[in-house]
Amino acid sequence: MALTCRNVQHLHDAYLDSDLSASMIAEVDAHLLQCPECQRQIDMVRVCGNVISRDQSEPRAADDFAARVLSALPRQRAAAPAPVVLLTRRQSRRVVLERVAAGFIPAMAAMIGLSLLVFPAATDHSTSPDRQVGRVLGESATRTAVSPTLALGVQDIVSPTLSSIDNASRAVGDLQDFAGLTLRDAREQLAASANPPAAPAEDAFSGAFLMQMLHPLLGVVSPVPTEPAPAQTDDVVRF
Amino acid sequence: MNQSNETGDGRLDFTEERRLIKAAQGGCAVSAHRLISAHQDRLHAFVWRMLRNEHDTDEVCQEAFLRAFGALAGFDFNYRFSTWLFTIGYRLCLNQMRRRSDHGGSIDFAAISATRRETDAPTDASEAVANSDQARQLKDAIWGAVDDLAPPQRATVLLFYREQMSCQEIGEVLKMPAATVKSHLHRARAKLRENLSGSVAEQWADVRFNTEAG
Repeated sequence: MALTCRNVQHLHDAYLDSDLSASMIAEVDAHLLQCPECQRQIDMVRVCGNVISRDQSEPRAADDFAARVLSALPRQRAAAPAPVVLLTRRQSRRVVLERVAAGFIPAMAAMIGLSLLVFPAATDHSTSPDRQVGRVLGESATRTAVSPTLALGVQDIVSPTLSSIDNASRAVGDLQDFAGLTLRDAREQLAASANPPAAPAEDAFSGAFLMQMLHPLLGVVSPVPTEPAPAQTDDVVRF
Repeated sequence: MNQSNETGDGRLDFTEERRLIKAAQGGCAVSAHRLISAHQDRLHAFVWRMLRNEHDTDEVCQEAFLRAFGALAGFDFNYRFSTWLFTIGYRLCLNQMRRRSDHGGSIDFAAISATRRETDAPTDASEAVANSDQARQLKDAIWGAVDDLAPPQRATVLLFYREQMSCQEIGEVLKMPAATVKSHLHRARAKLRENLSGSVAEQWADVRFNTEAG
């Protein structure tokens, strides 16, 4: 069945874009040969496409356009109110670690000093509570001649107290050890990050623990303007 | 410029474009310059056809390149650089049109006419045929009809015919499904047919001959 003008109008776009099958193209061509109006409609759109694609009568970009864009790239950054050097995650961690370590050392020193003041004998771990109680009670017994039964009663009261004090002193000692270890690892990490060939201290438990503790802080202060931007050269553009 | 890495119309092939983008990401100004040079005229023509204002066109093009290079580190190599650049350019055009309508600005038709007379100067024998008075009238009529299209339809027609993008690519630029792009193209063609079927209809046979000869 031959195509009507209405059929061909529906097929205009597909015909122009070669989206029709070979048989359908032949059908449309057969219609166009005997229908000047449909032929003109098709030609009109085809010529429009030719003119739009080939007629480059628009004004061209200026000869120095590319140079202007390139020169505007660094200027745009310089014009920013607060130039921010975007550091890598590793660099920003190092910066934050340096800052935290600077405040962490005096804080830990103060804590250790306070603990030594409060618990002057805490460092003597070899002294058991029982021996201390025995010594105190022995001295008391010789001075005041209290009965052994009373001395044992007093020992029941005093012994848990001294035991808890001893536990606290051990905890302070452990904290001192931990602080020393942590600071040493932090220094090693700083040295390792400052010296790229050195192996990263990723296996240090205390370092990882410190990083984990500081993680929220790292997220807050991630882009830190510390390192000055390198001097601009003519053949390098910073994006 | 190494012509072997460019297609016949001065466009970069995919491999060369990828190489230049990677070099530009590393801060190579020469590669960045080549990327700009390869795309500046295409973007300029598109934006000028959208805005029809020389000053705005220059401003939008520069801003488009600055934005493209500002975010070059995150460039997705699954796309062509031109698709990305035209996407930015189209959005900036829409912003500019909105701003212009808000401020009651207008298109500088005098500058357009002057520019067209200057740029249409024939350069060789084949161009002389295409730039006869009759052909020029028809070209003006066609571009006038294109100017009357709504922005999405105009952009679709320009990207389809001038940039030879597929409906899929145009959809990426205009941020719309390919089916919608086809619909815009269909309506744009219908509008062009409608606008051009008046006084110039009798001259199509001659124009067909000239364009096919060119």
